[in-house]
Amino acid sequence: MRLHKLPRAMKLASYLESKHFRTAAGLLIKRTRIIGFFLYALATVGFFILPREDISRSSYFDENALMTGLATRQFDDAVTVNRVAMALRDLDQSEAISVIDKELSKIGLEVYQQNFSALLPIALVQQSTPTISGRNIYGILRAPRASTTEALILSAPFHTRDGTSNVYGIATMLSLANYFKTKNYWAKDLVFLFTSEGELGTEAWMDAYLGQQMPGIVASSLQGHSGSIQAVFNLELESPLFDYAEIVVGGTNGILPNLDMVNVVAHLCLVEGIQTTFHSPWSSRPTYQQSLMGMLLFGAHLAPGLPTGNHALFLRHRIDAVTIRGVGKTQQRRGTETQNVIPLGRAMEGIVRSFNNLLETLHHSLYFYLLPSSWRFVSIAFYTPPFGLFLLPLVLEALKQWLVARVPDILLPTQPSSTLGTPNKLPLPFSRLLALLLVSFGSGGFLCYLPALACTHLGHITLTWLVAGLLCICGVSVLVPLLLGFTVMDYEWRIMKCFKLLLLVIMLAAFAVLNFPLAVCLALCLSLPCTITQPSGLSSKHTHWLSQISLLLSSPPMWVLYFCALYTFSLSAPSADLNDVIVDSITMAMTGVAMAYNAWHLLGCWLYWAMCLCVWPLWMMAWSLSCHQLVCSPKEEGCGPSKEALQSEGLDEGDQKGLRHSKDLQVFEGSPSPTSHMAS
Amino acid sequence: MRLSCCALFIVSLWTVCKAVSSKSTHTNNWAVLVCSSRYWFNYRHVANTLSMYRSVKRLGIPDSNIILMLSDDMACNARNPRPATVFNNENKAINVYGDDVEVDYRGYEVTVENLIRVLTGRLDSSVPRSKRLLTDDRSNILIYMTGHGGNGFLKFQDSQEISNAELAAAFEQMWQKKRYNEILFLIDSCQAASMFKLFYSPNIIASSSSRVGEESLSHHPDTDIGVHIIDRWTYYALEFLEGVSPASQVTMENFASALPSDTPLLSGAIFSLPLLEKRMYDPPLL
Repeated sequence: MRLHKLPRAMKLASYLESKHFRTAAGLLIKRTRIIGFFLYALATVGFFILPREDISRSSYFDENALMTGLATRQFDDAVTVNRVAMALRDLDQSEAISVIDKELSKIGLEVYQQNFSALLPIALVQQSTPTISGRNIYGILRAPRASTTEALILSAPFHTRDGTSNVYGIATMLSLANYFKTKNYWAKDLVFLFTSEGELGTEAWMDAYLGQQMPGIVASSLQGHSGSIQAVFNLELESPLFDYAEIVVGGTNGILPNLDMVNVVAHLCLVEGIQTTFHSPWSSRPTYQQSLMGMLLFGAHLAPGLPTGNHALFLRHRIDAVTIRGVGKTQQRRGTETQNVIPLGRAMEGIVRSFNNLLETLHHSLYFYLLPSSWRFVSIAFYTPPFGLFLLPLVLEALKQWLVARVPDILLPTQPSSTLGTPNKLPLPFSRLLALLLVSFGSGGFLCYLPALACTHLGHITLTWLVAGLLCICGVSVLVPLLLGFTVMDYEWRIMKCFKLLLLVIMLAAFAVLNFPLAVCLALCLSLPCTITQPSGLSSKHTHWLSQISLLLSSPPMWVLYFCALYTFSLSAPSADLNDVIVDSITMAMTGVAMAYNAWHLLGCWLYWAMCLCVWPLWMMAWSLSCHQLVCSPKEEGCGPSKEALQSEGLDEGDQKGLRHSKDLQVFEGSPSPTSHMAS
Repeated sequence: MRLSCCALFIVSLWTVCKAVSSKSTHTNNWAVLVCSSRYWFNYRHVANTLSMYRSVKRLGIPDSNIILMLSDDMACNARNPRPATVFNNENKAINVYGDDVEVDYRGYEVTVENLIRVLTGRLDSSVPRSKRLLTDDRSNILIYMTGHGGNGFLKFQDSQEISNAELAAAFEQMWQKKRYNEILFLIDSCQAASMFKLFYSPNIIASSSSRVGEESLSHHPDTDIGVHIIDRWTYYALEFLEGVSPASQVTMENFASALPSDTPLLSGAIFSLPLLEKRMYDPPLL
């Protein structure tokens, strides 16, 4: 019979019994660690060359309709900016709202207000009550000669992210509104939005505008409406004098705006003489180290997926949005108060005019990129291959475990299988896999949904209770496999490990598409624990205890603590007390968990859910596996699957011999001269 | 109408053909002016076409003999800070969208099908006379096209393309149906020379704003309106035409030499010599 006429299963079987396959399998099983190490090294090099000038590309405008910077910008109204800023200074929120209301009405816009209140599931330490309420105010400038089909949102919150008053941001927006009202070339409505209570106010307004409803936020419906939102620009100025304009692009869940939007903002700031920065103050012709630092900081801000500004919430709905933040205070006060504000106002005028030129939503440029600096970008085509190389060792390890579990079939070519041409079936330990999945995802489910259960019964819970509860669940999950001490066969644990590694690869690949920096962090944290865990019995007791302790130290809660410690340490003064730093990092970790939980319920971030139901279960699988005990060493006789298991698979006596582990297994455990065994 | 007022359309051949061409054999003049783009950022294409329309009208071709195809979405665009106007220069000296502009095909009527039907005369009986090209074998036609183009095609309103083969076939149909005496084909777009590469009918002079592989660029932006306002080739062509009156005796050679070389045009304007004796040679003049 010609080979190509055979059915596929038979062709596979003939390949699996071929010499070529045996050599390749032997090589893989013997050298997995080295190949893996080599691939990791290659991946690291791949990542580190990304910010280089010859790999990253220079940013360019992809949408010709933008015509950025073509029109002259003439905004120069320092008088109004100063007047409004003086009027708003030191006012509390309700007084400020009435001042803004008066200003907007004077300009001639339609003015509306919206009340909202939000119940935080986890009360943060600084707050007195768990309910936060506030008021948003917004004015609509209707396009003079166009129908209300599209809108551009110009937003300025009452407080910047750091908590300082955004008086000059609001003043700039109001004087821009005054200036824009005199122009007749608007093809889209301009909505000037002033929100309170940070992201909560923006979320409340956005939900009411888009017709969504987040549980936990109660907001009155909007009386004034405009068309579909094309772009959102958020302005935050701590003080009128600033050194840089920080362009904050990251959105919730790692979603980024169109790169054209970022380029428009950067270009117009440049043209107006304002230096731009992305989380780091180097933007014009940075060196390689600065680019690398810039890229890492960009990734670090994007990885948690928590909102970094009011614009972040709009990105969840695929509305391009960006925040411009004035940072840095000039040491010497020279010139007028508004010497930085007016150029920024002109830049805003140019940006809004550019977007006014658009007829369609931005669709040309990239949505997946990394920004080492203002004018260079790394596209998805470049940063995905190193990540793929990073995942490859996991796949190879999974393959190795599968092959070793099926070693006898590979080793004994003279043993024909019962049905001609089909490979021997190995009984898969379904019950064990199911138990593994149940324990891991069950504990993850508890971590994820128990706080919600507690909230519904108790109304809200404080931070300490939440953290205590989560740690309890973690502790119980860790102790259960340890105390139960399951026994496992050699081939069974190998198949479980293979399954776990494949699940990890799938999860990381999925995250790579959703939030790439997060995927990289998870890959760094989870690869090694999942690769090197094995049940007790294979190595000495000492080594096994050591590996278990290191596994505990590399669990997700500990990683959260490490990242927070790193952050606090990098920010603290060199002479700071170590105890203080540790306490600070623990507090930060706790607050971070609470913020993630609140963001999940109020703002739509899936970080908490992902950590509980994707990351924690995979670590639990590795932990459970390491808590298993090998029931017999592979070198012993009678260590194969039981008779009943075999008969349930329809295999007879003849096959049992083949399936029993023989001492030929030593070949793959590193003993010399393998070729003599495989030459048959 | 004085024959000399159409001196612009007199063919000027090199030494061999001079004797043949010095006598003009046409009795009427027509113009087909096509702007194939729409949308605000293509303001300059509409300005190009309207400027040519204005020059052609000023030099004596009446509206009844002009087919003007425009998307006509610039003057009343919500983004236009000067509503009801279209300018072709930053100095805003002339509003080319004045009081007496007759647009024959506007908006979504500017399609490839309509252009071919107009050229070949295959129009439904319900189409009015103002939208027909009622030429005979003694008509000289100016065909001016502008828009976004590529190698072998011109883009029509962001959804269609007309290829050079289609255009060549349309012109051959016109020749066979005796619908023209001579055609002056002017095209201002990127890689415009590719559009007349396949012409095989006689008595056509073609001029393009750029060679194959080159882009045609705009001349200058208007920083008040915020758009690019005119293209380079058309700008220099109009400069030449502003100096022409119905009484002047300018020839094609003058026109050709008036269009500047690669700088400041920034692209190579090509003239193809007419194919009177079925000879096809195409030396670039500039």
